[in-house]
Amino acid sequence: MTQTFHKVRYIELLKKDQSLESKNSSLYKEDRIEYRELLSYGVILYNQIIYNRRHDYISLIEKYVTNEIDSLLLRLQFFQIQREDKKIKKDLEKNFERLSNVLIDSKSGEFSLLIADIFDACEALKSDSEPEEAYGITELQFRAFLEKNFLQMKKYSDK
Amino acid sequence: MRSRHPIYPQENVVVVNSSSISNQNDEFDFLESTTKEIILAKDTSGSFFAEGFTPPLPQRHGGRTTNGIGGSNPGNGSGGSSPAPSSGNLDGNCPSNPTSKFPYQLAPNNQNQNKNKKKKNSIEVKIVNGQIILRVTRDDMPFFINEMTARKKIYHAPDFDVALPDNLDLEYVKSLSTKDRLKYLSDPGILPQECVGEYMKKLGQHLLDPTTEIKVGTLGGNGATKGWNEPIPGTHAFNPGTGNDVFFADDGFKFHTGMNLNDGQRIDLEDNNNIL
Repeated sequence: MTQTFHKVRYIELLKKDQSLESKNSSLYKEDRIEYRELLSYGVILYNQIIYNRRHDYISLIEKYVTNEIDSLLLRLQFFQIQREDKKIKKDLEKNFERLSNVLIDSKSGEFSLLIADIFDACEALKSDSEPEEAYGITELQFRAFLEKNFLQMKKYSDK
Repeated sequence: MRSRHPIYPQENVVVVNSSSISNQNDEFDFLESTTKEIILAKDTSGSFFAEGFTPPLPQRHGGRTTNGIGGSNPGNGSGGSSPAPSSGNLDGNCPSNPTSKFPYQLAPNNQNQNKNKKKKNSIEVKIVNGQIILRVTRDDMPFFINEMTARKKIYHAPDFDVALPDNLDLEYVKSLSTKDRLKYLSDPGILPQECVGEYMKKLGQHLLDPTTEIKVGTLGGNGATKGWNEPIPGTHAFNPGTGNDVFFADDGFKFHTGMNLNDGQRIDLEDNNNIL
Protein backbone atom coordinates (compact mmCIF):
# COMPACT_ATOMS: atom_id res chain seq x y z
CA MET A 1 0.00 0.00 0.00
CA THR A 2 1.33 3.43 -0.83
CA GLN A 3 0.51 6.80 0.61
CA THR A 4 0.27 10.08 -1.20
CA PHE A 5 3.69 11.37 -2.01
CA HIS A 6 3.68 14.35 -4.31
CA LYS A 7 6.77 13.37 -6.20
CA VAL A 8 6.18 15.82 -9.02
CA ARG A 9 5.98 18.69 -6.60
CA TYR A 10 8.93 17.35 -4.60
CA ILE A 11 11.08 17.20 -7.72
CA GLU A 12 9.93 20.66 -8.73
CA LEU A 13 11.02 22.06 -5.37
CA LEU A 14 14.31 20.17 -5.48
CA LYS A 15 15.04 21.63 -8.91
CA LYS A 16 14.23 25.09 -7.63
CA ASP A 17 16.43 24.66 -4.59
CA GLN A 18 19.31 23.32 -6.66
CA SER A 19 18.95 26.15 -9.14
CA LEU A 20 19.05 28.69 -6.32
CA GLU A 21 22.05 26.94 -4.85
CA SER A 22 23.95 27.43 -8.09
CA LYS A 23 23.26 31.14 -7.65
CA ASN A 24 24.60 31.09 -4.10
CA SER A 25 21.14 31.13 -2.61
CA SER A 26 18.64 28.53 -1.43
CA LEU A 27 14.97 27.91 -0.89
CA TYR A 28 15.69 28.39 2.80
CA LYS A 29 16.67 31.97 2.09
CA GLU A 30 14.14 32.74 -0.60
CA ASP A 31 10.91 31.10 0.45
CA ARG A 32 10.42 29.59 3.88
CA ILE A 33 7.02 28.16 3.05
CA GLU A 34 8.35 26.23 0.10
CA TYR A 35 11.42 25.24 2.11
CA ARG A 36 9.12 23.84 4.78
CA GLU A 37 7.17 21.99 2.09
CA LEU A 38 10.40 20.58 0.67
CA LEU A 39 11.39 19.33 4.11
CA SER A 40 8.04 17.60 4.55
CA TYR A 41 8.59 15.60 1.35
CA GLY A 42 12.13 14.90 2.48
CA VAL A 43 10.76 13.42 5.69
CA ILE A 44 8.54 11.01 3.74
CA LEU A 45 11.44 9.90 1.55
CA TYR A 46 13.78 9.52 4.51
CA ASN A 47 11.18 7.49 6.40
CA GLN A 48 11.00 5.11 3.49
CA ILE A 49 14.78 4.78 3.31
CA ILE A 50 14.80 3.95 7.03
CA TYR A 51 12.01 1.46 6.50
CA ASN A 52 13.94 -0.21 3.69
CA ARG A 53 16.75 -0.78 6.19
CA ARG A 54 14.52 -1.83 9.04
CA HIS A 55 16.21 -5.21 9.34
CA ASP A 56 19.56 -3.49 9.98
CA TYR A 57 18.02 -1.32 12.66
CA ILE A 58 16.13 -4.16 14.30
CA SER A 59 19.21 -6.36 14.25
CA LEU A 60 21.29 -3.61 15.84
CA ILE A 61 18.81 -2.93 18.63
CA GLU A 62 18.47 -6.65 19.25
CA LYS A 63 22.23 -6.89 19.74
CA TYR A 64 22.02 -4.24 22.43
CA VAL A 65 18.95 -5.72 24.09
CA THR A 66 20.63 -9.14 24.25
CA ASN A 67 23.86 -7.60 25.59
CA GLU A 68 25.88 -8.52 22.56
CA ILE A 69 26.97 -4.90 22.25
CA ASP A 70 27.05 -2.04 24.71
CA SER A 71 25.56 1.43 24.43
CA LEU A 72 28.73 2.95 22.97
CA LEU A 73 28.87 0.44 20.14
CA LEU A 74 25.17 0.85 19.61
CA ARG A 75 25.52 4.60 19.17
CA LEU A 76 28.55 4.34 16.90
CA GLN A 77 26.73 1.90 14.65
CA PHE A 78 23.36 3.61 14.85
CA PHE A 79 24.69 7.00 13.79
CA GLN A 80 26.73 5.32 11.05
CA ILE A 81 23.55 3.77 9.60
CA GLN A 82 21.83 7.14 9.88
CA ARG A 83 24.64 8.79 7.92
CA GLU A 84 24.40 6.13 5.24
CA ASP A 85 20.65 6.65 5.03
CA LYS A 86 21.12 10.39 4.62
CA LYS A 87 23.58 9.75 1.82
CA ILE A 88 21.08 7.49 0.07
CA LYS A 89 18.52 10.28 0.35
CA LYS A 90 20.95 12.88 -0.94
CA ASP A 91 21.81 10.70 -3.93
CA LEU A 92 18.14 10.10 -4.69
CA GLU A 93 17.45 13.81 -4.56
CA LYS A 94 19.96 14.28 -7.35
CA ASN A 95 18.55 11.51 -9.48
CA PHE A 96 15.03 12.53 -10.38
CA GLU A 97 14.38 9.43 -12.46
CA ARG A 98 15.10 7.13 -9.55
CA LEU A 99 13.26 9.41 -7.19
CA SER A 100 10.16 9.31 -9.31
CA ASN A 101 10.17 5.51 -9.02
CA VAL A 102 10.28 5.42 -5.23
CA LEU A 103 7.23 3.88 -3.62
CA ILE A 104 6.26 4.81 -0.11
CA ASP A 105 5.05 2.14 2.26
CA SER A 106 2.34 3.30 4.61
CA LYS A 107 4.16 1.68 7.53
CA SER A 108 7.33 3.66 6.96
CA GLY A 109 6.08 6.64 8.94
CA GLU A 110 5.25 4.59 12.03
CA PHE A 111 8.50 2.68 11.91
CA SER A 112 10.65 5.75 11.51
CA LEU A 113 9.01 7.28 14.57
CA LEU A 114 10.52 4.44 16.56
CA ILE A 115 13.89 5.20 15.00
CA ALA A 116 13.51 8.89 15.82
CA ASP A 117 12.86 7.91 19.44
CA ILE A 118 16.04 5.84 19.46
CA PHE A 119 17.97 8.77 18.04
CA ASP A 120 16.67 10.97 20.85
CA ALA A 121 17.51 8.34 23.44
CA CYS A 122 21.05 7.88 22.09
CA GLU A 123 21.58 11.61 22.39
CA ALA A 124 20.05 11.81 25.84
CA LEU A 125 22.08 8.94 27.29
CA LYS A 126 24.47 10.24 29.88
CA SER A 127 27.49 8.51 31.31
CA ASP A 128 27.70 7.21 34.86
CA SER A 129 30.29 9.86 35.66
CA GLU A 130 27.84 12.67 35.03
CA PRO A 131 26.00 14.12 38.02
CA GLU A 132 22.51 12.89 38.75
CA GLU A 133 21.00 16.29 38.06
CA ALA A 134 22.67 16.56 34.64
CA TYR A 135 20.44 16.43 31.61
CA GLY A 136 19.83 13.02 30.14
CA ILE A 137 18.77 9.49 30.92
CA THR A 138 20.71 6.84 32.74
CA GLU A 139 21.86 3.59 31.19
CA LEU A 140 19.06 1.80 33.06
CA GLN A 141 16.40 4.13 31.65
CA PHE A 142 18.00 3.85 28.23
CA ARG A 143 17.91 0.08 28.32
CA ALA A 144 14.31 -0.03 29.50
CA PHE A 145 13.32 2.38 26.74
CA LEU A 146 15.09 0.40 24.03
CA GLU A 147 13.67 -2.90 25.21
CA LYS A 148 10.18 -1.46 24.94
CA ASN A 149 10.99 0.08 21.60
CA PHE A 150 12.44 -3.19 20.35
CA LEU A 151 9.21 -5.05 21.03
CA GLN A 152 7.40 -2.54 18.84
CA MET A 153 10.06 -2.70 16.13
CA LYS A 154 9.84 -6.45 15.88
CA LYS A 155 6.34 -6.14 14.50
CA TYR A 156 7.92 -4.82 11.33
CA SER A 157 10.66 -7.41 11.00
CA ASP A 158 8.88 -9.87 8.73
CA LYS A 159 6.88 -7.49 6.61
CA MET B 1 56.66 30.22 29.32
CA ARG B 2 56.11 30.40 25.62
CA SER B 3 55.36 27.30 23.63
CA ARG B 4 53.85 26.11 20.44
CA HIS B 5 50.34 24.87 20.65
CA PRO B 6 50.56 21.05 20.92
CA ILE B 7 47.66 20.37 18.60
CA TYR B 8 48.07 23.24 16.22
CA PRO B 9 51.83 23.72 16.06
CA GLN B 10 51.67 26.21 13.22
CA GLU B 11 53.54 29.45 13.59
CA ASN B 12 50.42 31.47 14.03
CA VAL B 13 49.21 29.73 17.16
CA VAL B 14 51.25 30.23 20.27
CA VAL B 15 50.23 29.51 23.81
CA VAL B 16 51.65 31.43 26.72
CA ASN B 17 51.12 29.99 30.17
CA SER B 18 51.63 32.52 32.89
CA SER B 19 50.63 30.20 35.71
CA SER B 20 48.74 27.03 36.29
CA ILE B 21 45.01 26.96 36.64
CA SER B 22 43.65 26.18 40.03
CA ASN B 23 40.84 23.78 40.71
CA GLN B 24 41.31 21.97 37.46
CA ASN B 25 38.54 19.53 38.13
CA ASP B 26 36.15 22.25 37.17
CA GLU B 27 36.70 22.68 33.49
CA PHE B 28 35.24 26.15 33.43
CA ASP B 29 36.68 27.43 36.66
CA PHE B 30 39.10 29.51 34.65
CA LEU B 31 36.21 31.73 33.67
CA GLU B 32 36.32 33.11 37.14
CA SER B 33 40.05 33.17 37.44
CA THR B 34 40.74 36.26 35.35
CA THR B 35 43.94 36.06 33.34
CA LYS B 36 45.87 33.21 34.82
CA GLU B 37 46.53 31.82 31.41
CA ILE B 38 46.85 33.85 28.30
CA ILE B 39 46.33 32.88 24.74
CA LEU B 40 48.67 34.71 22.47
CA ALA B 41 48.13 34.34 18.79
CA LYS B 42 49.38 35.99 15.69
CA ASP B 43 46.85 36.89 13.08
CA THR B 44 47.38 36.63 9.36
CA SER B 45 48.64 40.18 9.13
CA GLY B 46 51.50 39.27 11.42
CA SER B 47 50.50 41.24 14.46
CA PHE B 48 50.04 39.58 17.82
CA PHE B 49 47.12 39.92 20.10
CA ALA B 50 46.65 38.42 23.47
CA GLU B 51 43.64 37.93 25.55
CA GLY B 52 42.92 36.24 28.81
CA PHE B 53 39.58 34.53 29.05
CA THR B 54 37.22 36.72 30.93
CA PRO B 55 33.83 35.87 32.36
CA PRO B 56 31.21 35.76 29.63
CA LEU B 57 28.50 38.35 29.58
CA PRO B 58 25.36 36.41 28.86
CA GLN B 59 23.63 38.36 26.12
CA ARG B 60 21.45 36.34 23.88
CA HIS B 61 19.05 37.59 21.28
CA GLY B 62 15.86 36.20 22.71
CA GLY B 63 13.68 34.56 20.16
CA ARG B 64 15.37 35.98 17.14
CA THR B 65 17.86 34.79 14.66
CA THR B 66 21.08 36.44 13.75
CA ASN B 67 22.98 35.55 10.66
CA GLY B 68 26.58 36.56 10.78
CA ILE B 69 27.69 40.14 10.90
CA GLY B 70 26.40 41.54 7.69
CA GLY B 71 28.88 39.74 5.51
CA SER B 72 31.86 41.18 7.26
CA ASN B 73 32.84 37.98 8.97
CA PRO B 74 36.57 37.83 8.58
CA GLY B 75 38.52 35.12 6.96
CA ASN B 76 35.78 33.40 5.07
CA GLY B 77 34.24 35.27 2.24
CA SER B 78 33.06 32.24 0.38
CA GLY B 79 29.69 32.07 2.09
CA GLY B 80 27.35 29.18 1.65
CA SER B 81 28.23 25.94 3.24
CA SER B 82 31.74 25.74 1.94
CA PRO B 83 34.24 24.60 4.50
CA ALA B 84 36.61 26.99 6.12
CA PRO B 85 40.10 27.20 4.66
CA SER B 86 41.94 25.14 7.24
CA SER B 87 40.01 21.97 6.75
CA GLY B 88 42.94 19.63 7.30
CA ASN B 89 43.51 16.24 5.82
CA LEU B 90 40.27 14.38 6.09
CA ASP B 91 41.05 11.21 4.25
CA GLY B 92 42.96 9.64 7.07
CA ASN B 93 42.80 9.68 10.79
CA CYS B 94 41.54 13.18 11.21
CA PRO B 95 44.90 14.95 11.36
CA SER B 96 45.13 18.68 11.10
CA ASN B 97 46.68 20.02 7.96
CA PRO B 98 50.15 21.11 9.07
CA THR B 99 50.15 23.98 6.61
CA SER B 100 46.76 25.28 7.54
CA LYS B 101 46.34 28.25 9.78
CA PHE B 102 44.42 27.96 12.96
CA PRO B 103 42.51 29.78 14.17
CA TYR B 104 41.74 30.97 10.70
CA GLN B 105 39.71 33.87 11.99
CA LEU B 106 41.82 35.40 14.64
CA ALA B 107 40.85 38.99 14.37
CA PRO B 108 38.51 41.15 12.37
CA ASN B 109 40.12 42.28 9.14
CA ASN B 110 37.70 44.91 8.05
CA GLN B 111 39.67 47.92 9.14
CA ASN B 112 37.33 50.41 7.53
CA GLN B 113 34.36 49.53 9.65
CA ASN B 114 33.40 51.69 12.54
CA LYS B 115 34.76 50.00 15.62
CA ASN B 116 31.58 50.65 17.54
CA LYS B 117 29.61 48.63 15.02
CA LYS B 118 32.13 45.87 14.63
CA LYS B 119 31.29 42.64 16.35
CA LYS B 120 34.07 40.42 17.45
CA ASN B 121 34.52 36.95 16.00
CA SER B 122 37.42 34.80 17.11
CA ILE B 123 38.56 31.40 18.26
CA GLU B 124 40.87 31.10 21.22
CA VAL B 125 42.50 27.92 22.42
CA LYS B 126 43.19 27.13 26.02
CA ILE B 127 44.80 24.12 27.62
CA VAL B 128 43.58 23.31 31.10
CA ASN B 129 44.98 20.22 32.79
CA GLY B 130 45.98 18.87 29.39
CA GLN B 131 42.48 19.32 28.00
CA ILE B 132 41.70 21.59 25.08
CA ILE B 133 39.07 24.25 25.56
CA LEU B 134 37.97 26.53 22.76
CA ARG B 135 36.37 29.84 23.35
CA VAL B 136 34.59 30.89 20.20
CA THR B 137 33.32 34.43 20.07
CA ARG B 138 30.60 35.00 17.54
CA ASP B 139 28.97 38.41 17.26
CA ASP B 140 30.43 39.25 20.67
CA MET B 141 28.82 36.17 22.18
CA PRO B 142 31.17 33.67 23.84
CA PHE B 143 30.71 29.95 23.35
CA PHE B 144 32.82 27.25 24.96
CA ILE B 145 33.73 23.88 23.54
CA ASN B 146 35.57 21.54 25.88
CA GLU B 147 37.44 18.40 24.98
CA MET B 148 35.59 16.11 27.36
CA THR B 149 32.23 16.82 25.80
CA ALA B 150 33.67 16.66 22.31
CA ARG B 151 35.07 13.21 23.11
CA LYS B 152 31.68 12.03 24.28
CA LYS B 153 30.09 13.25 21.07
CA ILE B 154 32.82 12.01 18.76
CA TYR B 155 30.37 9.75 16.90
CA HIS B 156 29.01 12.93 15.31
CA ALA B 157 32.45 14.04 14.07
CA PRO B 158 31.93 12.57 10.57
CA ASP B 159 28.97 14.96 10.20
CA PHE B 160 31.59 17.71 10.26
CA ASP B 161 33.88 15.94 7.77
CA VAL B 162 36.22 14.66 10.43
CA ALA B 163 37.15 11.03 9.88
CA LEU B 164 37.34 8.84 12.93
CA PRO B 165 40.69 7.13 13.49
CA ASP B 166 41.19 3.64 12.13
CA ASN B 167 41.47 2.12 15.57
CA LEU B 168 38.08 3.53 16.48
CA ASP B 169 36.59 0.82 14.44
CA LEU B 170 33.79 -1.26 15.68
CA GLU B 171 35.63 -4.57 15.48
CA TYR B 172 38.28 -3.13 17.74
CA VAL B 173 35.70 -1.96 20.23
CA LYS B 174 34.18 -5.42 20.26
CA SER B 175 37.53 -6.88 21.22
CA LEU B 176 37.76 -4.74 24.34
CA SER B 177 36.65 -5.87 27.74
CA THR B 178 33.63 -4.16 29.25
CA LYS B 179 35.89 -2.30 31.65
CA ASP B 180 38.11 -1.06 28.83
CA ARG B 181 35.12 0.03 26.80
CA LEU B 182 34.10 2.38 29.56
CA LYS B 183 37.45 4.12 29.27
CA TYR B 184 37.45 3.86 25.53
CA LEU B 185 36.67 7.39 24.46
CA SER B 186 38.71 9.02 27.19
CA ASP B 187 41.84 7.13 26.20
CA PRO B 188 44.06 9.39 24.07
CA GLY B 189 45.76 6.27 22.73
CA ILE B 190 42.52 5.19 21.12
CA LEU B 191 40.97 8.53 20.39
CA PRO B 192 43.93 10.89 19.97
CA GLN B 193 43.67 14.46 21.10
CA GLU B 194 44.51 15.53 17.53
CA CYS B 195 41.32 13.92 16.33
CA VAL B 196 39.18 15.50 19.01
CA GLY B 197 40.97 18.81 18.40
CA GLU B 198 40.14 18.59 14.70
CA TYR B 199 36.49 17.97 15.55
CA MET B 200 36.52 20.92 17.94
CA LYS B 201 38.10 23.09 15.28
CA LYS B 202 35.33 22.18 12.87
CA LEU B 203 32.73 23.01 15.48
CA GLY B 204 34.38 26.40 15.94
CA GLN B 205 34.51 27.01 12.21
CA HIS B 206 30.86 26.05 11.93
CA LEU B 207 30.03 28.63 14.55
CA LEU B 208 31.99 31.35 12.78
CA ASP B 209 30.62 30.58 9.34
CA PRO B 210 28.63 33.70 8.41
CA THR B 211 25.84 31.54 7.02
CA THR B 212 25.40 29.78 10.35
CA GLU B 213 22.38 31.18 12.15
CA ILE B 214 22.26 31.69 15.87
CA LYS B 215 18.91 31.14 17.47
CA VAL B 216 17.70 30.78 21.02
CA GLY B 217 15.91 27.53 21.67
CA THR B 218 15.91 24.25 23.51
CA LEU B 219 17.21 20.73 23.30
CA GLY B 220 15.24 17.75 24.48
CA GLY B 221 11.69 19.02 24.07
CA ASN B 222 10.63 15.70 22.57
CA GLY B 223 12.41 13.76 25.30
CA ALA B 224 10.42 15.71 27.87
CA THR B 225 7.20 14.37 26.38
CA LYS B 226 8.55 10.85 26.98
CA GLY B 227 9.02 11.60 30.65
CA TRP B 228 12.72 12.34 30.43
CA ASN B 229 14.32 15.53 31.72
CA GLU B 230 12.98 18.97 31.10
CA PRO B 231 14.37 20.49 27.90
CA ILE B 232 17.63 22.40 28.21
CA PRO B 233 17.44 26.08 27.28
CA GLY B 234 20.26 27.25 25.11
CA THR B 235 21.43 28.41 21.73
CA HIS B 236 21.37 26.66 18.39
CA ALA B 237 23.95 27.40 15.74
CA PHE B 238 22.34 26.01 12.61
CA ASN B 239 23.78 26.10 9.13
CA PRO B 240 21.05 25.64 6.51
CA GLY B 241 23.66 24.85 3.86
CA THR B 242 25.27 21.89 5.61
CA GLY B 243 22.28 21.02 7.79
CA ASN B 244 24.57 20.88 10.82
CA ASP B 245 23.41 22.19 14.16
CA VAL B 246 25.51 22.78 17.26
CA PHE B 247 23.77 23.35 20.56
CA PHE B 248 25.16 25.28 23.50
CA ALA B 249 23.46 25.10 26.88
CA ASP B 250 22.73 28.44 28.49
CA ASP B 251 24.43 27.24 31.63
CA GLY B 252 27.87 28.61 30.83
CA PHE B 253 27.25 28.59 27.06
CA LYS B 254 28.87 25.19 26.95
CA PHE B 255 28.92 22.93 23.94
CA HIS B 256 26.36 20.22 24.45
CA THR B 257 26.11 18.46 21.12
CA GLY B 258 26.47 18.98 17.40
CA MET B 259 25.14 16.92 14.55
CA ASN B 260 23.71 16.83 11.08
CA LEU B 261 19.95 17.22 11.23
CA ASN B 262 17.57 15.17 9.17
CA ASP B 263 14.57 16.88 7.60
CA GLY B 264 12.27 16.03 10.51
CA GLN B 265 14.71 17.58 12.97
CA ARG B 266 15.02 20.63 10.72
CA ILE B 267 11.26 21.05 10.82
CA ASP B 268 11.33 20.79 14.61
CA LEU B 269 14.03 23.43 14.74
CA GLU B 270 12.19 25.63 12.25
CA ASP B 271 8.83 25.36 14.02
CA ASN B 272 9.81 25.03 17.67
CA ASN B 273 13.45 26.13 17.94
CA ASN B 274 14.03 22.70 19.40
CA ILE B 275 15.73 19.46 18.49
CA LEU B 276 15.50 16.02 20.05
